[in-house]
Amino acid sequence: MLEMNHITKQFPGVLALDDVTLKADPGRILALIGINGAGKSTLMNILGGILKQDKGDILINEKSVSMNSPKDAEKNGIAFIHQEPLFFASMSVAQNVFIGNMFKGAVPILTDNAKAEKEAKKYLELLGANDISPHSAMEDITIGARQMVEIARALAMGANTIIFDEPTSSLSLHEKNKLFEVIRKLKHEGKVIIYISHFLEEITELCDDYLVLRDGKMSGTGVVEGLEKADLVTMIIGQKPAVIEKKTVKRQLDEVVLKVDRIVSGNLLRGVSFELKKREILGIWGLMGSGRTELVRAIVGLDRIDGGMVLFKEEGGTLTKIKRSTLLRKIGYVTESRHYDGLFLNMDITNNCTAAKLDSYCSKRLKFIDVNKEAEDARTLIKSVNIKVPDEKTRASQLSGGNQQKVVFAKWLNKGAPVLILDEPTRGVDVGSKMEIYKTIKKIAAEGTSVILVSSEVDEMVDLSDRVIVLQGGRIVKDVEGPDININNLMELALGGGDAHE
Amino acid sequence: MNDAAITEKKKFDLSNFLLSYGFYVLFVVMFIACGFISPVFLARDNLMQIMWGATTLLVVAAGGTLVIVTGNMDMSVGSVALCSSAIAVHAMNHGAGFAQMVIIIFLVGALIGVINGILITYARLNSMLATLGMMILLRGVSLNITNGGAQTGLPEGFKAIADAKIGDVSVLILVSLIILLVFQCLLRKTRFGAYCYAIGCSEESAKRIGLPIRKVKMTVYILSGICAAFAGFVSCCKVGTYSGTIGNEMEFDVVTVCVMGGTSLLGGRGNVFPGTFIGVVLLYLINNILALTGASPYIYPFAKGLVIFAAMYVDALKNFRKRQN
Amino acid sequence: MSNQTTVTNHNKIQTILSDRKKALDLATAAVAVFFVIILCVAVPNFLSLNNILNLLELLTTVGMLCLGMTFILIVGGIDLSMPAVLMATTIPGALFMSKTGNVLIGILIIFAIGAIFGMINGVAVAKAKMIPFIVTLSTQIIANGFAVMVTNSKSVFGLPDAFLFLGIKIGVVPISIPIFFIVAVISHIILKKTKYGRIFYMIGQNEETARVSGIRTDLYIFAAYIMASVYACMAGILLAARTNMAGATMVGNTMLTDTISAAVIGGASLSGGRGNIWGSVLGALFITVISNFINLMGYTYYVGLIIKGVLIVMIIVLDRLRNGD
Repeated sequence: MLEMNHITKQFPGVLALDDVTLKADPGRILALIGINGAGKSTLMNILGGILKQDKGDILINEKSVSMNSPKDAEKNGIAFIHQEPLFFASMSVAQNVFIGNMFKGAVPILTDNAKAEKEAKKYLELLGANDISPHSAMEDITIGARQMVEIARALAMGANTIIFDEPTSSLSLHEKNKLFEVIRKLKHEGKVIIYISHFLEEITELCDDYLVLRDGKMSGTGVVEGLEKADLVTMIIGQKPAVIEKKTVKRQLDEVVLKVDRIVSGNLLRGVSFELKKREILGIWGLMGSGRTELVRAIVGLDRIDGGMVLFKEEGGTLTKIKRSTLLRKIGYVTESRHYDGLFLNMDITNNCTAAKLDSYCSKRLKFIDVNKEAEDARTLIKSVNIKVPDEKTRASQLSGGNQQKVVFAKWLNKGAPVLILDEPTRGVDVGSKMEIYKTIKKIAAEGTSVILVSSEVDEMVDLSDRVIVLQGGRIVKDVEGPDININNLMELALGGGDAHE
Repeated sequence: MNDAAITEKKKFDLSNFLLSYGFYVLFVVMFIACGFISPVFLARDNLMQIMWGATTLLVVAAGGTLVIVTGNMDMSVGSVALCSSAIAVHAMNHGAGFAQMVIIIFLVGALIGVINGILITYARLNSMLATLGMMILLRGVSLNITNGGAQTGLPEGFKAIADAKIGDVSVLILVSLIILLVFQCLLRKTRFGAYCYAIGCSEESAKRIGLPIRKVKMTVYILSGICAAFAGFVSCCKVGTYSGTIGNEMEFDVVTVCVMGGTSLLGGRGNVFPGTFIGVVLLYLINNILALTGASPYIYPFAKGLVIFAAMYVDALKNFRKRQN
Repeated sequence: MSNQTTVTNHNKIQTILSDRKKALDLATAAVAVFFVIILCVAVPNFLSLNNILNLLELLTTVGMLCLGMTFILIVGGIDLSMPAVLMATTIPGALFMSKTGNVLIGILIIFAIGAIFGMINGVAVAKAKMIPFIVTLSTQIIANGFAVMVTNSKSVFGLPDAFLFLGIKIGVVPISIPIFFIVAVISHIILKKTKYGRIFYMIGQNEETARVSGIRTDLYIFAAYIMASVYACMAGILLAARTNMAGATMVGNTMLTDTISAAVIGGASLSGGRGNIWGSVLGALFITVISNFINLMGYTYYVGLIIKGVLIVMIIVLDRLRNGD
C-alpha cells in the first residue's frame, strides 16, 4: 500500500503540486492522468526521490518513509518503467536484467552468468515473455521486448511498486496488448501499480482506480468502472467556458503548395498523407508519441523515410516531387527545441537572423557579406517582431526564452519562405511573447505564407488553425475544419475518441 | 507491415556478416595465403617468431581494449612503456637492483594510470587529447632522465627472463597469453567488466541506474598504465638493454589492433580474446610476410597505415549501420 | 514583473559567464606577455633584429599549419594529419623537382597529393561520419608511411633555384615572412568577411541549427579538411625552399601539438565555433618563442618535450574552463 498524503511542491513562480493525495493499493492499477504540466511528473519525481516535497508525507505499508535520492526509492521497492527504456545495447538480456545486482560465482570476484541467464529466464517467463532469449543482445530485440526486460529488471531489484510512464507510446498494437497482459499479471501478484497515460481507452481497458491532476491540483479521483468518458475529459481539461470562438472562415486559396504522400518512417509513421494549401494554417494535433515531430522531421528530410514522397510547388511552378534534402533550402522550420537546433546561441542576433538567407547578403563573385545590410535588416526585424534587446549585436544566449523564439521567427521571416513549419512555437515562452508570436503567425498567413503548426497546447491549436489533422499512432485519424476545431472536440479526439483508431 | 519488419530483424545479411566477422575471415585467408606465398611461413619457428614479436603489444592492447570498451582512449601507452623503464634505469644508475627495478616499472605504470584517470574522470578532459599531452610529456621526461634515451645495459635478470622457457615455449609468450585470458575473464565474467560495457554503451543510462562510473574509469586507466608498463618491461627483457625507442608508435598500434579485433571506438562492444589477440597477430603477420617476401622495409609503415585506415573505416560503417537500425 | 527580474538575473549570470571567459582570455594573454618580457630580460639578444627575423621565419611553418588548423577547429573538427601531410606532399614534389627541375609541375604535385589527403579526411568525416580525431590519426600514419616509402627514408636535396626563390631573403627579410602574412590576411578575410567563413562558424557553433537553416553542412566540413591540407602544402613548400631540403625530419615530433596549442592559445576551441586568424598567429608566435627560448637557453630537445607536454595539458584545461558548463 502506497500513500502520498497532502503533497505540496512550490517551484519558483508556480505551485506545481497543491495538496495532492495519492493512494495506491496492492492488486489494483491506479491511473494517473493529466495533460502536460498538470503535475504528474513532479509527483512521480517526488516518489522517485529526484525532487523533495515541501509539505506532505509518503507512507509505504503505513510506515512513513523519506525519499532523498533515487537510491532510497529503489530501497523502498519503487521502480519506474520509462517511456524510452533504459538499456545497454550490446549487452545480453540477462546482463541487462541483473546489471544492478549481479550474482556472485563460485570464485567471489567472478559473476555467475549462467545463473543470471537462468534467473532472467525465470523472470521473463513470469512476464509471459518466453520468446525473449536471455542470451540475445539488447540491440537485437524489439522495443516491446526491451520494455519487458526493463520490467524484469525492476522485479529482479525487488520492486513492489511499479510506475509505468506512458509505456505504450512506441509500441505496436500487438506489443501493447502483451504489455497489458503483463501489467495485469503483476497486479494479480499483488504489486502496487501506477499507470500514467493520456489515452482514455487504455485507462478504461486496464485500470481500476484513477487520479486526475489539473494545474497541480486533484481534479478527480475514484473508481474507473462506470466512469463516463466525457466526465473524465472534463476533469482533465476543466470546465472551460464554452466560448467556442466562432472561427472566421478565412478565404484560402485552393492552390496546393505542399503535398505529403504516404510517408512511412521509422517505427512510428505508417503512411501519412495530406495537402497544404496556400495561405492556410494547418494544425497537426496529437499527443506525445503520436508522431507529430517525427512527421515534420521526415518531411523536411532530417529523418530517414522508408516510403512515400513529398511534393512541393515553387513560386510560379507546378507541384513536383522534391529531393527532400533540398527542401530545407526552400521552406522554413521552427524546431521543437530552439537550443538544440534553432539558434546559434553564441552568435549575435544579426547572424541568427540572416543565417537562412546568407546568399542574398553576398557579393556576386567573392561572396563578401554586406554586414551593414545585415545589421539594417536585423534592426528592422527586431522592431517588426518586437524582440526586446539593447541592439542587434546582443548574443542569442543572453535573451529570455520568448525573445529567443522571436529571433528564430525573425530568421524565417527574413527568408520569406513560402511554407513555414512550426513545431511547438511557443514552448517555454512567456505570455506576452506568446501573444506577439500568435499575431505574427496570423499576419504572415494572411500575407500568403502557408503554415504547418504542431503543438501540444490545445488553445493554440484552436486559436490559430484553419484546419486540423489529428494524428494518432503515426496515422491520421481525423481531418477537422471550421467550427469543429474546438477545445472539447480536439481533446476528445486526441485522447482516443477518434473512430479510426485501430 | 512495419511490425513484421521489426520482428524479422534477425535475417541473414551478407554485408552485415562481413562487417562483423569479415576480419576473422580475412585472418584465415591471410594465414592460408601467407602459407602459399612463403614456404617458411608455416614453419614452427616462424610462427613462434611472430608470437615472440607480438608479446610486447599483446598485453598493452588488452589494457587498451578495456579503455576503448568504456568509450575512452589512452594515447599515452607508448610513453608509459618508455617512461616506466626509463625511471627504472634511472634507479639502476642510483644503485637499484633487478627486483627493485621491476617493482618500480609497475609502480610507475600504475601511478601514471592514476594521473590519466584523474585528468579524465575528475577534470573531465577529453580523453584523447589529455593522454596525447601525457604522451609528449612522458616521452620528454624519459629521454631527459636517461641521457636522451641512450642504449643502456640492464641487469642479467631481464635477459634471463627473456630466455626462460617452459618446454620450448618462451615464458614471456605464455605469460602474455595468460594475462590476455585474465583480461578476457575480467571483461566477461566480473561485475567490473559488465560495468565497463555498460558505461561504454550509454554513460547516461549507467549514471541513472547508479553504477560507479568514476571508480570504473579510474580502474580502467590504472590497468591500462600497468599493462603499458608490462610492455616496457617485455621490451627491456627482449634485448636486455634500455633504449629511447621503446614504445614508439605503440599507441597507434594499440588502437589499430583493438579496432581490427572488433572493439568499437564508440565504446560498449569488443573483446580481448579472440578479437584483440587476432588483431595483434594479424599486424605482426603483415610485417612478417612482408619481410619473408623481401619487400622493401620502407613499405611497412605505409601498408600499416592503410590497414589502420581500413579498420577504422569498417568500424565507422558498422556504427553507421547500428544507428540506422 | 517577476518575469522581468528573471530576465535580468539571467542576463547577470550571462555577464558573469562571459566575464569569466574574458578573464580567462586576458589571463592567457597576460601570462604570454609576462613570459615574453621575462625572455627579453633573461635571454641576451632576444630582441635583436636577427633573432626577431629568425623567429618570424620559424613562425611561418607552425603558423601556416595553425591557420589551417584554425579553420578545422572552427568547424568543430581536428586534423592530426597536417604535419604528416606536409611531408607526404612536399617530399614527392621535391623529389620530382630535384630530378627534372620543373618547379611548376613539382608544386602542382604537392597540391594534388595534398588535395587527395584532404579528400580522404573530408569524406571520412563529413560523409562516413567518422570521428575526426580517429580519421586524421589514421591518415597521419598513412601520410608518414607514404613519405618514408617514396624516399626510402632518405632526404631530398638540391632543389632547383627557381623553387629556392621562395626561401631567399630580400635585404635581411626572408621572403617567406611576407608570404605568410599575405596568406594570413587572405585567411582572415575568408573567415570574417565572406559567406564561407560565416558558415564555418555556424557549423562549429551548432551543426544541427546550420542544417535546419538549409546549409549543406557536409560540403563545408569536407571543404575545411581540403583547406587544411592545402595549408599544410603551403607550409611544406616554404619550409623546403628555406632549408633546401625535404625529408622525414622536416618537421619535429612536436609540430602537431605545437599547432593545436597555438590555435587554442589564440582562442580557438576544441569544441568548435570559436577562433580567429590573428589569435592563432599570436598563438603560433608564442609557441615559436618558447621553442626559440628552449634553443637559446641551450636546453635539450627532451626538456622541450616536457615543457610542451605540460603546455598542451594546461591548454586543454584552459579550453575546458573556457567552454565548460
